[in-house]
Amino acid sequence: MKLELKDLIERYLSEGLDEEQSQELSMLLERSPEARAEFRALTKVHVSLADHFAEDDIARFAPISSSIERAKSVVTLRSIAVLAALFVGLLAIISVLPRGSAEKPIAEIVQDEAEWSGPIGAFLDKGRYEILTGLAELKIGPGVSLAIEGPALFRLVDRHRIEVSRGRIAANVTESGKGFTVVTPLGEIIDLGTRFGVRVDDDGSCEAHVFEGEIDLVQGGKSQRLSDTEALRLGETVPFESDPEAFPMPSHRLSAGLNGADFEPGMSLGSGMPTLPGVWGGDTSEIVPGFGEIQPRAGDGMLRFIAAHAVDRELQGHVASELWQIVDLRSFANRVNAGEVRARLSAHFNRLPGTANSQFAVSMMAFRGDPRETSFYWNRKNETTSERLASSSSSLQADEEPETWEQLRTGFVVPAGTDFLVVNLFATQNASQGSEAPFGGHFLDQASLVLTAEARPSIPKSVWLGEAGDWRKSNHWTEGVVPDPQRDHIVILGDGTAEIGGEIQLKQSLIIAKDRNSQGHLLIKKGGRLSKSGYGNLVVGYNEGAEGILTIQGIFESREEVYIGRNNAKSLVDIDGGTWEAGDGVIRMAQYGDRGPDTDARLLIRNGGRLTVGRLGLVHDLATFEIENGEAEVGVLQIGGDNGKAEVRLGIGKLQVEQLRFGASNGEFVFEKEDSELWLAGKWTVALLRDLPGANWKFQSRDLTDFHLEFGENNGVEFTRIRPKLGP
Amino acid sequence: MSDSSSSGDQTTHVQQLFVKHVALLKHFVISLLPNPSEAEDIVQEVFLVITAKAHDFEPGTNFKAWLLTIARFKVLEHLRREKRTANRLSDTAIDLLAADMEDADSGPDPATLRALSKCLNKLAPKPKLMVELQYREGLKPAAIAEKLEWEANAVYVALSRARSGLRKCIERQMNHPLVQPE
Repeated sequence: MKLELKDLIERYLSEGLDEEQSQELSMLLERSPEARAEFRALTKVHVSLADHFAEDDIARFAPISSSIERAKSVVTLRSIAVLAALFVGLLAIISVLPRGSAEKPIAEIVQDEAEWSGPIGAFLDKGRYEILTGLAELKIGPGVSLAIEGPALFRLVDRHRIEVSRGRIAANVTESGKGFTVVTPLGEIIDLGTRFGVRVDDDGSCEAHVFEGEIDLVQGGKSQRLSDTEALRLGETVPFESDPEAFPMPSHRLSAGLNGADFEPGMSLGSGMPTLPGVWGGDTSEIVPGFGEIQPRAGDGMLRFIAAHAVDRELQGHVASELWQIVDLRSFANRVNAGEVRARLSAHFNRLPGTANSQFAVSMMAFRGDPRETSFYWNRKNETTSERLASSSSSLQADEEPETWEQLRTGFVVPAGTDFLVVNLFATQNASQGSEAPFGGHFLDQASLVLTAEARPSIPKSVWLGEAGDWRKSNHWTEGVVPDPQRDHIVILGDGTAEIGGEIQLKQSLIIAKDRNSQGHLLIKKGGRLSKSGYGNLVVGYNEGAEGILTIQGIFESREEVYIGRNNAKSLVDIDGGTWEAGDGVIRMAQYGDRGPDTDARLLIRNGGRLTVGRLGLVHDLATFEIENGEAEVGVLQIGGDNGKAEVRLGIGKLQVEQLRFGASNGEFVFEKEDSELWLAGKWTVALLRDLPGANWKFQSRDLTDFHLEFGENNGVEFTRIRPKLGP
Repeated sequence: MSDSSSSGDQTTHVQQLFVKHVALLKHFVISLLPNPSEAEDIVQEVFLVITAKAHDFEPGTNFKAWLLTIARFKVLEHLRREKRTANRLSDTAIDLLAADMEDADSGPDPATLRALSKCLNKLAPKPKLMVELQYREGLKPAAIAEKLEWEANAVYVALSRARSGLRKCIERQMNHPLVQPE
């Protein structure tokens, strides 16, 4: 696109010129004094506008005394503009300016929710600082981000070193900040390009926790290396598991995003919607090194959309050529479920002249569920479904200038409960040109998906000390205080049962048996009620070898996700005459089985217990769902994942399921009694049942010979009631 | 420090000159770094440098030239550090603009800002919204487009029209003020 001088300047002022256009503008300015005069006139309007709105800011924040402090203590365009314009306070600014020191400040405060012991500016110089309470995030150069939580006392030594004499601090250090050192009274922690936390307590004890990567810990002249998920108390030698929730967290970019998003030669493009994360798939397209007058925006390749299909109702009359990629977020569940992760998608598009009525679009959706079922979820994108948690898109009519690429962006805060994102990039064209008309003039290059987690403070933790007794008795908890159900992250440990007799509403996470090889037992007694909403997971059996038990004799309500047996743990949820009301929520059994098939998860309903849940997934390993005596209503029942064996056992009682799905692993559905009833949505025949699409799947019973099938209705939905005929 | 009083005087003098020329400095810096907060950082840095180097300045010589030299250096250093190639003027263009700026008027003075504030009130609602989204909210055109569900190009055009309108209006106000400044 050839732009005139004025348009070039205007675009420049909105920061929209690419490299080539920048060169063009520079050339015009170099050549002609008139062009420079025009440039000066337009930039003067720009600087006046910037000044005008900056003054607005001052006026808006003026009543807050601390921001006046800050405005004064640092010279900003704003304070200079206001004060110089009014010609007052000249001496006042000069008296608070750092005199005669051109030394660069060490750290920039990027987020400040802290109460400091003295006034501070937007930058911190070398020196000692104290935070009384709250969280501050500092940036030191491009490579180091720090979250510091008060009460904290620290000294900034230089850009590579901070001394902490009290408080909790967490660091995200990228390659360029490698070697950053935290000095504590008991030793030094040297970063090797990583994320880690350091705490110095009032009694002088120190701990170092590694969340990702490695650190070197130097004490008494000896150096010890700690890696991923390890922690150490200084002065001791045996590491334990690091605890990210015990530390504040600086904002950081998650190590997830799009693969092959620069569309360089040699990358593979799948056909059809992908079923695995990290690969592109969609309508036919190809990577080209250039096409006609269009050159890649960067690198040696770009994507050319080729095949098209007719698209759905909101774009009626158009054909589209689409591309998808799945981005798995399950390993970031903690940050995602805390509502802290923001996703930003962008891509560049271009087209050949003559491809009229063309639009480009980027679109992104957040889903919970199984990435392999993406196409099923995606095809229901115009319905309200419990799988889709967020969506956003944007589109544009690209210009016909082959020299310019147009950028499209979209994004959202990733909702709690999201398992994966689906990114969709596409071009459309009016179908009046015929769906067979060549669809080859549309191009895509340089897509990116950036996921950032916002800074957060540490989450207070309350731990059950392991003696049997009442939840509300303070002597059962660490620190001798009953946990604050709205604020605290709660861990139940030990062989003594924690009993809930009254009503408790939890907002943060609750973990029963968290540490390796630990035990934990929580009992909701008859008449008791536990409600879990808000952020944070509920997990029964967390780490390797942990054995967690949740017994429900009263009422248990959950809204988001519950994991039964998360990481090679052994766990049981026993609905013993009580009720578990999980609404549209999700229960996942044996979620992470990838370290060997020994996660053993059981969900048992007995003594007339009841369960209602939107999704119940028996995902990996040994997952058993058994109704000994009681009832369950399940929206989607997923039986089996990639490995291990999933089992559903039906005794006396009724199981109602709207959708039954099967994984690739082994599974069994066992009718134990003639009184067993399975209600399946839709009309079923014996042949259909015997032919259910599970790979190694079988319906069976000790003496099953046949089924009784009856059709009926329940709340307007057609169900088939299935009862076994047991042999003679 | 034994020479603190004379050193303090020289520093104060240079700082007073800085405040006198700060509008010009801002205009120069923002014309090379159109993002206002980025420009703000450089202006801050320039202030720290002139304070530190106050003694290098010979009273009676051209302060504007000295100021613009330091600013030009700081901007180039910043652009190189950022390895910026998009939305960046060439070094030659920057040199020429610095030279021009020495002879130019003094950047947006209070009268210009008053005129601007009147002209903003005369702007039609749509262009006014664009201007507020860019300058008050700090949104770039692509983000504005997304927010309003417009095409990005339409936003560029609207912003460009808004600024041209403001420019003409400010010039009219300055030459034939309808209302005398109070």
